[in-house]
Amino acid sequence: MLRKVTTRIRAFIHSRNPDHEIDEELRFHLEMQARANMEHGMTHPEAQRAAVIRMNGLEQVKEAVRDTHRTFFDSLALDVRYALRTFRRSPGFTAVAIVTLALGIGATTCLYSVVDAALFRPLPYDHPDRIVRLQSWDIQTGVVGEAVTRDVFDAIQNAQTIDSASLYVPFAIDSTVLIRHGEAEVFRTADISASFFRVLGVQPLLGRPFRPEEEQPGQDGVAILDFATWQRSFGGDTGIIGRELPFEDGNRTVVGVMPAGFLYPAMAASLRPDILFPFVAPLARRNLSSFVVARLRSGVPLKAAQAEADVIAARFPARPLDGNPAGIRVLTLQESLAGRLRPSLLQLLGAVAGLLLIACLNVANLLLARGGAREQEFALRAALGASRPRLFRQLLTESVLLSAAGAGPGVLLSSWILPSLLARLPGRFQIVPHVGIDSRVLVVVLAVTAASSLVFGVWPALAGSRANLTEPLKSAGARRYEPQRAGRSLLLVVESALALVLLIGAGLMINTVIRLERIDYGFETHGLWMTRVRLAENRYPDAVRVAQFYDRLEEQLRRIPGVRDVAGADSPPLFGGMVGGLLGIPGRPPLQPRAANVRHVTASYFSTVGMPFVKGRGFTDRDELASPSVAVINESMAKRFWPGQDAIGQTLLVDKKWDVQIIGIVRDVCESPAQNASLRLSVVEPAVYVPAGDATDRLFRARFFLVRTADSDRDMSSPIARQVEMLAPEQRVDVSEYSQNLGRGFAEPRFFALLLGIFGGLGMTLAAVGIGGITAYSVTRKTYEIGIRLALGATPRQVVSTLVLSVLIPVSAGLGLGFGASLILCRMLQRLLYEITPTDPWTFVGVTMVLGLVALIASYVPARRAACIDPMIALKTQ
Amino acid sequence: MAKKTDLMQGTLDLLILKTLSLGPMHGWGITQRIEQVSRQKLRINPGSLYPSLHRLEIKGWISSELGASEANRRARFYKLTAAGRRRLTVETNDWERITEAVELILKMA
Repeated sequence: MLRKVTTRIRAFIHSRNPDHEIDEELRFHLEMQARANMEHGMTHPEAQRAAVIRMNGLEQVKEAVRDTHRTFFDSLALDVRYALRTFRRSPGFTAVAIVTLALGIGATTCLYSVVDAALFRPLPYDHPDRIVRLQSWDIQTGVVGEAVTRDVFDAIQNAQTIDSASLYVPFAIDSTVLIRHGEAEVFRTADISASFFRVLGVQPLLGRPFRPEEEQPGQDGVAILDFATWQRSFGGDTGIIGRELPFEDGNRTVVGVMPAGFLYPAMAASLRPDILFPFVAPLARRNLSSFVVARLRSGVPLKAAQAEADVIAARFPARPLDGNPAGIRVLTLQESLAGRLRPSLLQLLGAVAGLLLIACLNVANLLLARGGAREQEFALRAALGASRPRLFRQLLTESVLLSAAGAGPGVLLSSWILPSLLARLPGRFQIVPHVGIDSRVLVVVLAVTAASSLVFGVWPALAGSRANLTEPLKSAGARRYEPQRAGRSLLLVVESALALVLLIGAGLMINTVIRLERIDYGFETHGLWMTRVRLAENRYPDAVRVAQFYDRLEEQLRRIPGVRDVAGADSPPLFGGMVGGLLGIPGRPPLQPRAANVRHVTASYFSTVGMPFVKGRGFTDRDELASPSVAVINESMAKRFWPGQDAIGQTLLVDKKWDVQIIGIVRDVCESPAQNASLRLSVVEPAVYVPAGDATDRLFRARFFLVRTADSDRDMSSPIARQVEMLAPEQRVDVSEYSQNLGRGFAEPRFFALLLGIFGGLGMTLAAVGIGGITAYSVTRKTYEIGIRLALGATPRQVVSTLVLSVLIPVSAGLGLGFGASLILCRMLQRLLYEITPTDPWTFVGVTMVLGLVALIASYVPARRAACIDPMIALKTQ
Repeated sequence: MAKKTDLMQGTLDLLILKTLSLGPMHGWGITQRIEQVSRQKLRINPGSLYPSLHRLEIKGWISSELGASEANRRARFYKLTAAGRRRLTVETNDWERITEAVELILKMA
């Protein structure tokens, strides 16, 4: 070891040996040899020549000596300098190669950042692999739920395998109102157990966590602020701890502030809670999502916890609707967050790898072609004494430099694109705050860059260093034969196949998205806007105030130019609807809980949404504020309960309070959106529409307002928001357009369509560039041969078609290969497709034809030049 | 090709070290001495000699300095270092062991 170090140091010192000293030493030897020769009888010139011959190549010997002094880094520096000179000499080639690599590496970096944050990077908690989530699970139907009863939760907390468990109950819709400075402000809240911090292994930024005694009713007058809320609404005032805040349901003392950027264990980033309250038993509301997170005891494997969970589930009678789960599923928190998207992300990763491979193949092809042109250069170097490994290393250095040069812009490009990519991530995805090009990603990028340079560099390096010494130096053009012909054709085959696979995938997804957007829900989703208001008790203490507000708001909204109609509802079409066992029909047996959707709506609901009346009429305003005694039902309801009869005039029991008469029947609309793209239709269910009625019930402190615009493309979000703000400045206004909302439900297929579309497009472009480049190169190399053929009578058209064919044959083989591969690979997209099979013939054939056409054009354009070759000039060109 | 050079290189190194053990010399002198002593049976290729010399110097077994040659020209003289002397002993022993072994095998019937 020591010897090696000293050797290295000595080498370094000796490398300071200037060249001329070595030269001098050798010349001395030559002189002495010449003298000896003369002593043997040769003449002076003969003696000198003999000496030189005996030396067997002065330059080579010098080089060999220099080599002994050279450290690895010296040679490397030389290689790099040489490579840079080479690149400067052919800027076009270098530019194309670098851009190609930048695209490939950039796309890979982008996607990998997302995948890493979602699947690989550990969550930002203490020992995140020990944190699990427990979900209720119906073994028979496989349905996963998030509700548990108190008993079940207590059992979990006391479990052997669990160190601590916490509830996390976000009220995404119901926000609590804070009265501050006389004004009410609406916040989103979430309830947590005192053990929340222990489970996750975090501490508040300021103050303290909740204490177990604060989970008791009456003692829960505390709150913890989210960092963003603290900054935004309380000015980041560190004196906030201990301050009492007047909430709607009573005063609470602020005891802590969460750290900045804290990742809540179960919500999409857009719905972070603003304030945390301690969770107080009982678990009151049924339709609440209560997430259970827990930390396993150290050393306990997941399986043990699952086994124990099964035991707990068995202890309680299964009543899924009431929150007693039929079964309990235990999975790691990371898995529960991103698990659903794992297959998609991995597929996308595969696709981007395909793109990167295309880029590498392109560059390899370019390098091989150029290698042919540089044969003379390498032959000369070999003659001068460069060994094969040395030449190989030189060429590989060039490849590595190209890779590195591509990686730089690639990473930059991806950091630009990443934000807009993230904006389109499927919404269930929670990792958005944490995605970035950080050191983890960069390490992978480095590895990818190095690997790419090997992939595209090794073969050309091997080919180039196998320098044929005599041929290139003899024919001072060496343009008569094309080296590596078969190999390059193979590259074309693979490239075309890959590009086709990507494009077909893209085609299928784009088709799917188009179909999804065209789903008929029974009403026009374009041009329908929606916003929700929630009225605080202190500002609107009684029914009259509430009704006044709703009326005024409706009026104001009607006044907005471009608005055709406005309506109010407790839940809008497609989303929600009261599914409660609160409906009965006189004279009939009790109905199932989910018998029908009940909606409380204003009179203009039907015209706003666009639901025509099949029979009867809607309600008038008079029917409304009075105790409502009328209702409208939909066709399904009529068919279900009064088949063959006239439902008009029949009575219903709604909410167990009212005895209402049916006065009208409307056309069906879908009651819930397509849950995922593989479900054929969204569901049509029986529905009852009741006038919005009196607003004393707490439920109606919140109302959705629907606005139908005359021009469905106009953006109404600001005018609507403005009206709401004017009337109720304390409201947190959120306006959305229906079709866009639905679009969010298709986020996953859209995401895929977008990415595959980009990859496919890029792949096709790269392949086209590759084909064009190869053809152009062939023309140049074969100028001589073409000249001969033209001189011998071939028509330009024949020459061109030969060239084009020679490129198209491998491309066609590639297309065939890609076609077959797609038939297999595209099955992976099955679950994302909608109304289209993974082997849809139209898509397959159409895309193949498009790619074929592109390849044809890419090869034809450069080949045309061949037709313009003047045979005489070509023959003279050596 | 590479293997052959290695073997030759190792042997050449040994010869150089031995030759220098008799006193400092320049490259030309080394070739002459070896050719003489081996009765012209060994001809040293300068293309191998000089790289070897420089390599041995880097390894620290010989050292060099410029000096005046017989012809009153400047030449680089090499001489054995203490480490080189030790190395010579080791390599000589190795050589003798190897040749013994090879002979035994060649004498096999």
